[in-house]
Amino acid sequence: MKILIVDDNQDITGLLSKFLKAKGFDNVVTNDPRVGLERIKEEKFDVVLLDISMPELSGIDIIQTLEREKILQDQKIVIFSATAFTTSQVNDLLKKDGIQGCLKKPIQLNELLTAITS
Amino acid sequence: MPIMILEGISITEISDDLVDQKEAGLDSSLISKISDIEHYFDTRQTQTKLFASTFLPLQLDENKINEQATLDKIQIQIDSILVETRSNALNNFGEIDSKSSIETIFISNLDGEILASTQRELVGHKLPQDFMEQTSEKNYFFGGLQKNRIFSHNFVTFSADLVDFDGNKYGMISLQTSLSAIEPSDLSNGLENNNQIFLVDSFSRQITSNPEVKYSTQNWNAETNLIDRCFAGQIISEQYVNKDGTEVLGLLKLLEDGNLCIVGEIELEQVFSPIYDLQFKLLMVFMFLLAGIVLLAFFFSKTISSPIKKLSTTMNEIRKGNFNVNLDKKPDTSNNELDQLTNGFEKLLTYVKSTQDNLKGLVRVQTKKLEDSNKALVENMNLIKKQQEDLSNFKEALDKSANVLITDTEGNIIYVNDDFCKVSKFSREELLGQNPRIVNSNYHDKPFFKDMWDTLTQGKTWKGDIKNKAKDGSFYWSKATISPLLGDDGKPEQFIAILTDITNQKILEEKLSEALKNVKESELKKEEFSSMMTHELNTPLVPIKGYCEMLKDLDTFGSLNDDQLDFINKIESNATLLERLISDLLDVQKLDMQKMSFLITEFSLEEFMDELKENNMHLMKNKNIKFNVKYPQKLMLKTDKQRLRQVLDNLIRNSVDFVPSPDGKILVEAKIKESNIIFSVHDNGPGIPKEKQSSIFKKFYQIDTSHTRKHGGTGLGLVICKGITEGLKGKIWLESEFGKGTSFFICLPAPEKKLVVKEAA
Repeated sequence: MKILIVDDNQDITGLLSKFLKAKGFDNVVTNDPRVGLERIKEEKFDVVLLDISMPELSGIDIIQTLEREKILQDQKIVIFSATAFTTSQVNDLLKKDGIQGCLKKPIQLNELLTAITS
Repeated sequence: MPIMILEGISITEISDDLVDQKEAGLDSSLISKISDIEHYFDTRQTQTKLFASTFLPLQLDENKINEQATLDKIQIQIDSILVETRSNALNNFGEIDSKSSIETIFISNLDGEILASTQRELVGHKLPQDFMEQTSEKNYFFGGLQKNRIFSHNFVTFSADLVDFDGNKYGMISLQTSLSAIEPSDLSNGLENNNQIFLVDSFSRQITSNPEVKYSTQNWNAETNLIDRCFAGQIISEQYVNKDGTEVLGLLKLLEDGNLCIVGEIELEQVFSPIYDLQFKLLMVFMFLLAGIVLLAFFFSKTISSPIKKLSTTMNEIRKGNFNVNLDKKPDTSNNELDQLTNGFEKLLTYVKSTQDNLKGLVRVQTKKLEDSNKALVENMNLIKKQQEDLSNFKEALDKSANVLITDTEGNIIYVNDDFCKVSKFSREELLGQNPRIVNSNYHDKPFFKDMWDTLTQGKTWKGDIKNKAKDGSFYWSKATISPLLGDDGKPEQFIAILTDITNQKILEEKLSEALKNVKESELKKEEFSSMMTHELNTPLVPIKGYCEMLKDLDTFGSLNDDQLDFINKIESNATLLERLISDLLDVQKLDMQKMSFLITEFSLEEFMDELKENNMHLMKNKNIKFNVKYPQKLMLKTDKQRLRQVLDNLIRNSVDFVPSPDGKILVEAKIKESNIIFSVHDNGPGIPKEKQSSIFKKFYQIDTSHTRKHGGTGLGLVICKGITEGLKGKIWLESEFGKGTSFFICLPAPEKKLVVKEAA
């Protein structure tokens, strides 16, 4: 299983990368959302962990681009959000094919595992 | 004297009436008797004719009747008829009564010789001439026959001709019967004493069976010639002296066949006896009255003349205008008419006096009223004058305060006031005849003017704010009231626009709206800031909590000693507390800004409650709390699931903090009540004192600060719970008794149709 982690915060990507590696999941990390989008387009990942709040290109922008290019439904994206359950925007995202789930920051690692493996 | 005459007249009238009355009574008696008599005669005559016809079978004629053998047979036959009639056979012919039964039957020939008779001694006799004459004419004869003479009164003889087959008369059969049926005593039956009815024949002979009554004409007053006149056909009603020398009222009538006169007589004394009585009584009354009148006349002359004289004098005084005369007032109770007249006059005098006084008063009052009216009129006129002034002032004020513009129906300006010119910066000459479009700023769109025009042409007033452009290109705002002036036909003739300059107001409004926009922007910025803060504050927590979790994952990342593990736990729990603080602060901020948004979804109550239990279970482990949930099965809810969860989590966490350890108990319950769903969280904690219950939902409140230190928390939890519950259109409250635990309730509206039973998949 190959996982892509997209988050502008290096501490977070570092934590997640180490945790997942320790749990036996191959993963690729990027702190640049534009690179993240390119990687998603180039390669098929089993799971994409995507932060919503990123400068310049937000997680929502990435999802909308994928949707426009009609490749969103092929993805399995788990999004991170600090305000996960109050914004209707996030809820709208969750209705789309290709969006696996949403984790509220701060992330519980065991919940992350559940989200990836389900 | 007139009374006497009157009495005389009335007596005459009464006596006439009485005579009429008696006469009528007598007449009706006579008619009844006549009917009886005629019936009797008819019956007898019919009977006689019948007997005559029964001889026909003998086939007799003029010759045979004189033969002895025939006569013998006839003799036998009449004997047998008589016997027969005396028995009862003849009753069939209507025998009147036994007294009038047939006495004798005899047969005579054409010469009047009696050939056979039931009374043998009559045989061989010749019938008297008057009998022959009368019977040939009338078929009956009053009087009977005996040997050579005619009985006087007590019989009547009916005769019928005997004829042969050829119709030739050959003899006569006669029946001699008693007159008792028509005797005066019988006829007078039912009449008063001494009054009588009797029959008289054309020879003025009274018909009677009484041998005592003289059979003569001299009993009748020859001068009156009553009987002759009666037989001549008159009905006679007269007063005369009858044969007994009595004054009577007599009524004489001829029977139908013209052979008998019936006479009714009533004694006059009897007729007039009521009148005599009356006359006597009247005389008495008259005498009495006369005496009374004499007395009265005497009395009146004494009592009337002098008071009238006094009245007359008084009246003369009054006529002269002297009302202060004195009348001797008589007691009101007096029945004396003159006293009453005097009193009446005295009352009239008083009334005239008071009327005169009243009149004077009335004149004074009316004069006063007239003066008042005059005064009021003057005041009204002043008022009108003032109103006119006000009106002109008002006009002036209007002209001063407002810009006035008048157009005709074509929209051409026909009037502008100075202010309008001043504001628009056009001269009057430039404006007159122009369309108001001359000041159009192009700020308003077409529908704006269309609405204005439509309103005005319907005859209604249009109001609105208009931005206009002045001659120099500057803009100004006017609050406009435009009214159509309607003509007699109800159609607009002119339009008057009253415009108030509101440019300054509009400038303020624009500034205000800009300020509002700024506020909105700043709010938006605040929201953005809040969202950013959420992210920024939460982001550092991710690695802190994440690494703590990893360090505690001893299997994956290697072992720690107990102290190390304890430190890690402390870091983690404080990070969690920090996370909650951040979350609560942000929620409170959202509630304050009323920016809390809700996501309403439909979900299963069962799943929701199970999840709630599972996710809170770990909190119960440390304190070993008995935790349970209760809920109705198969229900769907429609609300914000996450927010509801947040509220319940909050309440549960509160309970966890306060329940005793060990033996802490927490129960979460969901119940349907009417069209609401009520969630409740019950605990067996220390409870909340009554006086503190009301303030518990207020910001930064905890019962005592020691709890805050002991249990941590921001004191914002219940404020957020309340905010969320109310945001979901529900209610939150608590029931608690200090020392006996607390129950929190959340009641959310759940429209019944939404509370559908989840269908089994």
